[in-house]
Amino acid sequence: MYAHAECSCENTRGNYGTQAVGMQSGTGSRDLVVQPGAPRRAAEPDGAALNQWRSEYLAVPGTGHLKVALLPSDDSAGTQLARRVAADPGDARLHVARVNHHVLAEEADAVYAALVDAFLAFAASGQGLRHRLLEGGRRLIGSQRAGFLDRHVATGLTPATPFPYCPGSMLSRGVTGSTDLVRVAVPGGPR
Amino acid sequence: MTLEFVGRNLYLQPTPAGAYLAVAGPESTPERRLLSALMRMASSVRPTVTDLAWWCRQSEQDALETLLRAQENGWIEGFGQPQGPSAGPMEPIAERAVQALSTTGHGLLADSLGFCMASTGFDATAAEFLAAVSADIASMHERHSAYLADASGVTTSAWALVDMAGNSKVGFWPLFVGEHRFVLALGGLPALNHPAMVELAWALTIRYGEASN
Repeated sequence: MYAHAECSCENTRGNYGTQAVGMQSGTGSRDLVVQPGAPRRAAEPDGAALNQWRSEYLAVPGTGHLKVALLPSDDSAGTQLARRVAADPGDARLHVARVNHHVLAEEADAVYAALVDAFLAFAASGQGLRHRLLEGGRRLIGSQRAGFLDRHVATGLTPATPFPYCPGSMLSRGVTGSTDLVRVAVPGGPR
Repeated sequence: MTLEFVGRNLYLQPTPAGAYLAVAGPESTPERRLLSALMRMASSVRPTVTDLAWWCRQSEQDALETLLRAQENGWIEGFGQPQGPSAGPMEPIAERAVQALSTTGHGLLADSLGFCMASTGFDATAAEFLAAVSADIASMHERHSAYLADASGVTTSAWALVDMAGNSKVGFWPLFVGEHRFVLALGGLPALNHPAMVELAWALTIRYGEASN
């Protein structure tokens, strides 16, 4: 990512040449480093434009364009997305939208719950999606929870995978103990 | 396929999903019999294969297959130490549980007559009303259950009050324990995978599950 970033500071050296002392006041710009192709923010963006910009360029890379329409409801967007994931666990767009929603809101526990559900939803398939979503949420969920999910990127989580209770997860069965209770016996194998 | 019971050193109990499954319907299945049997004792036990077969009312090999299905579906788990619901009266256990099972802390448990056994988050009037509605919904579902299963293809017995988008405002989950029927009503998002689900179903089974056994 760093290799493709570009500096948007414009002609700062020239300013030093004409203004020896004092600092300019004004709104300034926070667009110092941007991704190629990302539009510059207006100096005073309205709320909708800012949210649009955030949702497209601060989301999990490569997924900001995926949108899920939400219906009028008393529920928050996060709650609606959680309900829809529970109703249709196989819809990858819902998982992406839910993770992005909580990443943008910087809600660490909700990001982890959304990631857990994405890891539970697709079993062994969907490795690329899991990897991308985990990378997008890694900064927020912390190294311990990221480490747990790292171990399951390739395989996903199964209903029988034990892990500590995850508030907000819609697909977890709440397994925290051992689920190695009965196995298919291998003739001549160790007993 | 020959199965080997490798969890004989573990104290077995239902997971939250398993505890819900055990009480979610009145039909008796091997899985339900197994999970309910694990909740009939005051604390979890280390069963033998013979115990499993007795509880499932199956041969030992069939009982191990039932256990395997329960294991793969995340309905049963084992721990190194015995566990069980808190001792004492039902009300505080139910009150803690219904609060934990709703993300907004709105929940109540009602019996089949519409009496509120525990309530949290709702004011007294709303709780009484919802408890009465719970009883009506449960009996209505019972009257129409055969048709509902055929018409919708859905086996759930839970009902909900929904908003314009179809999102549940209050959900009603019947819990079948022995000959008794209770209704769990929850506002907000349900969290039936919370450990409190195990404690609630276990405590109810100890107190009310004996009649059918």
